[in-house]
Amino acid sequence: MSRRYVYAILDRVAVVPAGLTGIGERPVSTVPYRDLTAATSPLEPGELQATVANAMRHEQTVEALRRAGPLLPVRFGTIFPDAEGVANALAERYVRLEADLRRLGDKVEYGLTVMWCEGAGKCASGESGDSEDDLSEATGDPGPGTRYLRGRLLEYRRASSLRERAIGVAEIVHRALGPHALDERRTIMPGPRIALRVAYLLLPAGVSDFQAAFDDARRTQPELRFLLSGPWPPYSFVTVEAQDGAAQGTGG
Amino acid sequence: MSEPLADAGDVTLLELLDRVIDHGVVLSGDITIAVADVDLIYLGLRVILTSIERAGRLPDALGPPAPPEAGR
Repeated sequence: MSRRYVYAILDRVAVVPAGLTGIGERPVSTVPYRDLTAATSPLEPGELQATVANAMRHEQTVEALRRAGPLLPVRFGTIFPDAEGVANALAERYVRLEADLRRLGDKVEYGLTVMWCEGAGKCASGESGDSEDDLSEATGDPGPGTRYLRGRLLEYRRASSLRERAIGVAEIVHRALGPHALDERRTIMPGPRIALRVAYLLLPAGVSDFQAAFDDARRTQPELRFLLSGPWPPYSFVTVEAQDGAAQGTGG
Repeated sequence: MSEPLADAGDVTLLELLDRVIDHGVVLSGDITIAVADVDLIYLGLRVILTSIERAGRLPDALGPPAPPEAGR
């Protein structure tokens, strides 16, 4: 009868910590299917609002469930009309979920964000060697249209220079940290102020070596700002279901 | 580029939100957070963060997250 909000997929033998509550302070309980179980809580209509607080509560609940054993984190906002709907969803994806739980359930994820130094656009674009003066000398006194196009060209060159630099940073970081991780997902320049974001999949036993390598890498790149977060549940490494229903492996 | 860089706590919160909203198991529930609702989350984030990258480009558009590139 009650709608169900889903936090994570666990092994069926996992025991939810006593007294654990989730969104809306509702008690967390499980919906099993074969060797898997979904950690859920009841949800009244209108109870789930898209707020930072609820997104954080989702993650806090998943973190608490990690104490019960290996798990796969479920994306924020996953709701079913009832427990039967949850069980059906587990049944439809059972093979993939079971395989992912074995592959990822006991692993941790760390997130690396590499930011340009303060005033980043300046420090990176300054290396391109381009300036409006350079362009003016090359083409003489410009009209408004030419000035506009020069501005666009300058902007393009700066962006290209920044991206080339970000790719170089990604290579340096990969050489330093890649050998210490089981897998990684990286995004180069997700925005102009961030050079690189990488998610690393680690064995818990490998975290200290990874962190030591991170400290070394950070020291060699003083002009960049390195920020490491974790450990997270392995959100970034679960197999993604393609729109046609086929599963896309994430490697590892 | 005169805005201060986000501190480590801001980035950690951003990392948290990106993970729970953009990643994790998709069970294709009958009801999920709509794209418009995700916008609301990042608008809420913007109230908290004034200097971080992703919040900085909202609310004009919440484009899809940049696709990750092959790690190895």
